[in-house]
Amino acid sequence: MSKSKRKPRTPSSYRAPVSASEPVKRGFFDTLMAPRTGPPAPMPSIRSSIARGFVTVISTPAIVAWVAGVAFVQWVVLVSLGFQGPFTYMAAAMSWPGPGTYLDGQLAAVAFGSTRGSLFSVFIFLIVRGVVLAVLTTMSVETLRTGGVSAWSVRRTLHVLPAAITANMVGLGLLLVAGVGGQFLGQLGLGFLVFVAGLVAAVWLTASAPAIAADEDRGLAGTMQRAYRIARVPGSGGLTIAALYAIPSFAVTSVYAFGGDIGVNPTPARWAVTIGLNLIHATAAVMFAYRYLASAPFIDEAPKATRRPRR
Amino acid sequence: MRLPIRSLLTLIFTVASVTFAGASAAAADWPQFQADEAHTGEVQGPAPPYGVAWETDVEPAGPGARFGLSAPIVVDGSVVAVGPESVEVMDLASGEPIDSFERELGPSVPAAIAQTDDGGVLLFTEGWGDGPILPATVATSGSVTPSVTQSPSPSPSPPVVDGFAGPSGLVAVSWPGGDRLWTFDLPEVSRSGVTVTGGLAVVGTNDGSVTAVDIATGESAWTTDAGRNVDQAIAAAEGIVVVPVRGGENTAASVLGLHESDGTEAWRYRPVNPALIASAAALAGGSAFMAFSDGTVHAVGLQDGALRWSDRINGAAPWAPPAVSGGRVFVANAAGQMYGFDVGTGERAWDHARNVAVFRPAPVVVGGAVLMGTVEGQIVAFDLASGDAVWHRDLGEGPIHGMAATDEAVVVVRGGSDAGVLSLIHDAAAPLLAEQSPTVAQPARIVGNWLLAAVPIALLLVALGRFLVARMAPIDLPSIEDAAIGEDGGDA
Repeated sequence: MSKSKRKPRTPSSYRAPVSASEPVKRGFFDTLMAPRTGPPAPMPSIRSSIARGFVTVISTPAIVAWVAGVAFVQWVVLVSLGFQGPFTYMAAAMSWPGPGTYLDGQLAAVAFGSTRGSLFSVFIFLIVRGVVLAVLTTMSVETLRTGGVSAWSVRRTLHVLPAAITANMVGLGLLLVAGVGGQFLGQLGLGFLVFVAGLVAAVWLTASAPAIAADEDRGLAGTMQRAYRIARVPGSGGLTIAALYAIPSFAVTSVYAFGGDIGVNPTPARWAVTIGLNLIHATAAVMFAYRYLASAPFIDEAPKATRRPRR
Repeated sequence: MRLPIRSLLTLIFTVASVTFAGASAAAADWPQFQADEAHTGEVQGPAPPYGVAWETDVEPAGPGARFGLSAPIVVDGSVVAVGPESVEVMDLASGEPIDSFERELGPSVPAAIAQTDDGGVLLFTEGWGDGPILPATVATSGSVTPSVTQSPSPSPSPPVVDGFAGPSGLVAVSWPGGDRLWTFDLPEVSRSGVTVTGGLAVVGTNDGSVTAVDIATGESAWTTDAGRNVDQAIAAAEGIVVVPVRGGENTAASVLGLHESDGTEAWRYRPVNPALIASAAALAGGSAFMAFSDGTVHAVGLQDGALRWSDRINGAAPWAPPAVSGGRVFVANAAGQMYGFDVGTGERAWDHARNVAVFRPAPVVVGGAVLMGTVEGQIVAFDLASGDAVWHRDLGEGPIHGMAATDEAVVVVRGGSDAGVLSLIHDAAAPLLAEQSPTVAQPARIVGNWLLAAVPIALLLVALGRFLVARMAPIDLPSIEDAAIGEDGGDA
């Protein structure tokens, strides 16, 4: 879409909450126990979300270039730091927190072993992943809003960065909890299921956070609170779509990424597969942004915490 | 007077080669695992490229045949390899079978030959306690992975042979001849092979005991409890016996240094980061070098057990000891990547990734190259200086179990369905290669290959995307007026 066709933007950056009445504060499991009455917001279907995400990615040269460029730059940096592969790790360069966090942990272990450097490098990798996702999500939001990408995305990325990094930290925390829980339940054969559940939960809870930060002027806490609230909208299919992304992503990472050869000069075919898989991850990122943008105005703000009156 | 730099380097290299050649200098024979009691794995022998001088189908018989033959030793023009139920002896020049000694079923681990005042003595272990879990029929696949699993429930003990009454024994037979001289009962199954040092035969067993037996008399010199399984080869140099001790459920692998004179503990090295398995050690230049299952290589002082240096490698290398030559220590990991480290500093001189599995065979340094045997039956020779692969050849189906070298030939034991023993000799007619490791970055290739993939994909996808966008309904997102976009003067 050309610039002339873009809709005019208003100077305001604040989205007024759409709340007819004071919402009722609900518990965590209310969304699971509540009767299935259909979503309160016009959430796009899973199929149309995937289609919109994919078409948006491949029709936006900046996003395609970002995906291919990030894989290239990350590989060059890793090689210059002494990493020798497998190159197939780059297949998840764009993956969302959860599966991406899992890969970061594995990458740190391969590159640095069971050392303090490994622990430190996990955080470096998470920050890098946060930057990558922040840029990608901001470009996605601008493309979905206006049909193209401008310098605004670059500037806006600074605002999105804290939310994207926090999303990665949330993913790391959930994986650690899932890992510890899996240790306890492992003897029952449930350890693996708990770990996969942790991956899905990480995607589910953080899917909207970068898009919220890109689209609205909220603080970090407000952004994460809003993302948590969006994830829990009953009947929205958020958990389903998180599982549809996280489980295949984890499987591909486990089978493909960890099975590659040692070597630093990937063939064109390896590059092609890597770019293709990362475009799928980018599709998921755009899909999450699209679903949020389509439904956000219809989802209530979180109720303000009220103090109990003192007796 | 100014010394030419090249002469100076040559002098330094020569001095280093002599210094680090190991406790016993490279000899024509290969009388025990990895050439000598220090397990340097080095001998002056033929240089690559190689041709096959002979190949013989010496296949072990019996239900344990699938375990194949051990790594070979070579003495007095004869090749000796231990099979599950026999010790096979072949002629080094022709490969013709010379002799075969019966052996009680046991793990196929290397024998050793010692020289005493009364002549040569061939030493090997035998016995498998409750025994391995054997298949109903002999496996015909290429897998020869030795099972380390004992029978879950006790089964009848194997018959006692020649006074061997325990789960296993250390056997001495005359060499040559094969007359049984003595048998020493061991408390548990032994997988360490036999190491000969200073008139002693040292073996480790699965219960963690390390036993030194006087070769001349067959009587115990000393026994020490290492704590857990000792199932890797034991090395010795400078009066210290170095014992790799396997880790367990709540115990990490360690390396134990014992005084050769009485078996008392000199030191015990435990890596900071725990690992399950420690490889056998190679000893040279006052240090012990070993790899651990967490993908690390360590050098510790031979007299004090203090860490000299350690480095990470891409993957575990716990089953085969390093080899040492010319001031460098060579380690092959399980993914077929060979590394050359500086003995003194641990600086990585080179590495070469072949991306093929390597299991049992230890690297062998011969003729200016270090040889690596793979699970797929290939031998690869790496140049000692550059790490380039200068020669490789598929030697048939089945994994390489071990190698030994003499001044005439390199002897290779192959397992699997096509088990056998081969001899490699220098073949000037074969091509000498200079294959660089895929771990050596080629910037132009990286950029070029990326462009070859990225540009067509980007052009095709963007064209497809534009085509699809033109046919899709426009995005109708709510509340565009309230969006943050444009707040700071976007270019719309």
